[in-house]
Amino acid sequence: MQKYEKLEKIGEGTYGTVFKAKNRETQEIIALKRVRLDDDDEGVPSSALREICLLKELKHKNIVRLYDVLHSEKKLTLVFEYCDQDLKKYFDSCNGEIDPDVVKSFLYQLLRGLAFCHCHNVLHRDLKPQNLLINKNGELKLADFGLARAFGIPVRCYSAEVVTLWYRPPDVLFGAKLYSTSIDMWSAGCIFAGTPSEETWSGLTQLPEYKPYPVYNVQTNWQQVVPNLPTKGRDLLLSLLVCNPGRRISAEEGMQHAYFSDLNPAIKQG
Amino acid sequence: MATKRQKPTALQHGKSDQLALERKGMKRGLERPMVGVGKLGKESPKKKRPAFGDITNKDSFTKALAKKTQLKKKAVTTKKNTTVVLVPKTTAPVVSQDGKTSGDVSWEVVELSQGSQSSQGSRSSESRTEAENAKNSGIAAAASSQQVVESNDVSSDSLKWVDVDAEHLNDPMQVGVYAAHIFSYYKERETCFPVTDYLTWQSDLAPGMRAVLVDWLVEIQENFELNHETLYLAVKLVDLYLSKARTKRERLQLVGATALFSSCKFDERCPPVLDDFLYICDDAYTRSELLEMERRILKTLDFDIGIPLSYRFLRRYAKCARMSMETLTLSRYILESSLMDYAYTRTSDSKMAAATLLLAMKMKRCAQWDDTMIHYTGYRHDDLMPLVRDLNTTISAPPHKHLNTIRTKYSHRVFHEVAKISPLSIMQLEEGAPKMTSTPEMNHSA
Ligand SMILES: Nc1ncnc2c1ncn2[C@@H]1O[C@H](COP(=O)(O)OP(=O)(O)OP(=O)(O)O)[C@@H](O)[C@H]1O
Ligand SMILES: [Mg+2]
Repeated sequence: MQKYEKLEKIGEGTYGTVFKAKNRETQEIIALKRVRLDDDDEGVPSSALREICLLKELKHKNIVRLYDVLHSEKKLTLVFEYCDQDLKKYFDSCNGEIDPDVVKSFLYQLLRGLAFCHCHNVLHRDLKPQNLLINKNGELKLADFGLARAFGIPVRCYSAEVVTLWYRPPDVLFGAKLYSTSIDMWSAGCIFAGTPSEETWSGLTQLPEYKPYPVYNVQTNWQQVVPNLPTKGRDLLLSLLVCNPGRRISAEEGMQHAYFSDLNPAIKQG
Repeated sequence: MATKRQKPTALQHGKSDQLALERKGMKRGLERPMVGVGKLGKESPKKKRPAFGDITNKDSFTKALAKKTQLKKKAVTTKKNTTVVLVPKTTAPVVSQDGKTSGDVSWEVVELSQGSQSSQGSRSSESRTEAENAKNSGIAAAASSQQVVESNDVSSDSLKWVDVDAEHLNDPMQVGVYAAHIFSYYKERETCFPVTDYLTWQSDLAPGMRAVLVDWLVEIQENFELNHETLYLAVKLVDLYLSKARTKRERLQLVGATALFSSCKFDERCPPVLDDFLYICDDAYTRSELLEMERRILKTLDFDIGIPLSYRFLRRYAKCARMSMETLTLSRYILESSLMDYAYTRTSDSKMAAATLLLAMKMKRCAQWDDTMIHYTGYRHDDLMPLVRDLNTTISAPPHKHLNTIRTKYSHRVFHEVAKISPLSIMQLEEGAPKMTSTPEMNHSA
């Protein structure tokens, strides 16, 4: 692969290795996600196939841009726009000192990216800080669409094996296979929240995997990071973390929330 | 090539699932005859179909048929990572009222989901959901919650349409908030995937061969128990690929099998493995040939295979029309039959869906193509009529009569035996035109 010069490894995922690299012609810095293809393999992994197709379709400022795909017998390489770091690294580097305005901006951008996915018929299903990329100029982008898929309307049954446990909504945690855009909304809430309220809803105990113990102690970053989340922010998070998926707020609604009323207009317009 | 050898089929991959089923004491279900198998028993698998003569590797096609029973078993065992139970398949695809099953029972694997514990005996979660939708929408329609909206949406006429999503705004499964947007987006997007009149220059191919291929894909869809979206996507991939890449007839089956391989990866939760695809082609192609074809297809289509499909439009339109499961199934039969006919490949998916629904509505003499339908589909009754007439001809005098997989499939009780409903005569078709009651300007005087 002569077109790109690898600079350093930046991540190792379940199905690929991510490199920072440079386009030799344009000098542009990009990210390469490389998937090895084995001869007795199944060809293009379905996760890569879905990620590519969906990213070809979803072009939005809050979704990582896929520039190119290189496909040979031995490997499949996805060429992405480069982002400075993922949100996890950012959280870790902040040591609990994140500017509340930055938080507000990130959450807003996350909701905007999600609203775009959802109204283009795509569920992300793997939202977590590691899969959200950020730039020096404060942009946030959804990445890693390896578990994403297009949903039917009305939705059909899907796998319950989605979303890293900590970010998995209780309905899915308990084995629900009929879920929808609400799955992403829960994860969005988790990323920015502490422990959700333990509200229950009817039907919960009928779910196949239901166990009467409190599984959803979501690993927190939020309450430690910003202990004094303004009431409006708390209110928004609580509407994202409603256990009953039918009553969970949508991304569109979330963007209209009063918490964002004083959001920097530059971010709102994007 | 034809010599027997141990085939590394998906049976190996599915072992653990089978064990799981055995442990649950449900293994017997696997030995039960499945829907469709009886049919295959009757029709001798050895029998050559006339159209296979068009395709060089006809033996592969024919032999592939012979393996159906095994395929059936594989389809069950390939499902991985899912909580499965075997439930009796009732004669109707909807939940039987008492939850009990009637005399004619076969078994199938159903994945446990939120709703399925309370409604065992449903054919599949999909049809269950739809049955519920149909019920719910019926209720909602009767209730006074109907929202009538006036707008100038379609072709500048003012339409009085009912907002079918309003009643579902809080139901996450109906995706009420997004449905309208998604479908208008789909309608825009479908224009990005034009199929061209490729048979004019694909000198090695003919409509009959394509029909054989589609018929074969339908059989695989049934036997692997694939989603219908997977089938429709595979056919679409074949047509888009053939629109761009010259293909020899010996490779047509490879294109078809590979298209299905890719569409399974895109849409299926547990796609069949590559070996299954080599197997259904009776090893006419090698692993590396199939992998190479996968690269070719994906490159030719630029990996852009999230394509709005007629099947999806139909589901939506049927919901907007509040059609019964039976009418929807009849439309599906017509739509699936249309897949076989090359003549329809250049008609847009949304229009195909609207026209098949309209024809089904005429055949069942139910409802009318009212403002709500015009609003949601963007097509007027008269825009659709030429296509409706063609489709009526297609099902009353099928152009590829000997290829009857779809007809047989939809003659089954699971599909309400809709293939047995008699098509309309030309007279009936024309007199069935709806009397427009809503707005006077809707009267098609032209
Ligand atoms: N475009 C990019 N710019 C900068 N860093 C990136 C980019 N894409 C990915 N990364 C980094 O690489 C990591 C892994 O990428 P990604 O999540 O896409 O791969 P994956 O194989 O799907 O991972 P996993 O399955 O473990 O979630 C990310 O968490 C992020 O830190
Ligand atoms: Mg990741």
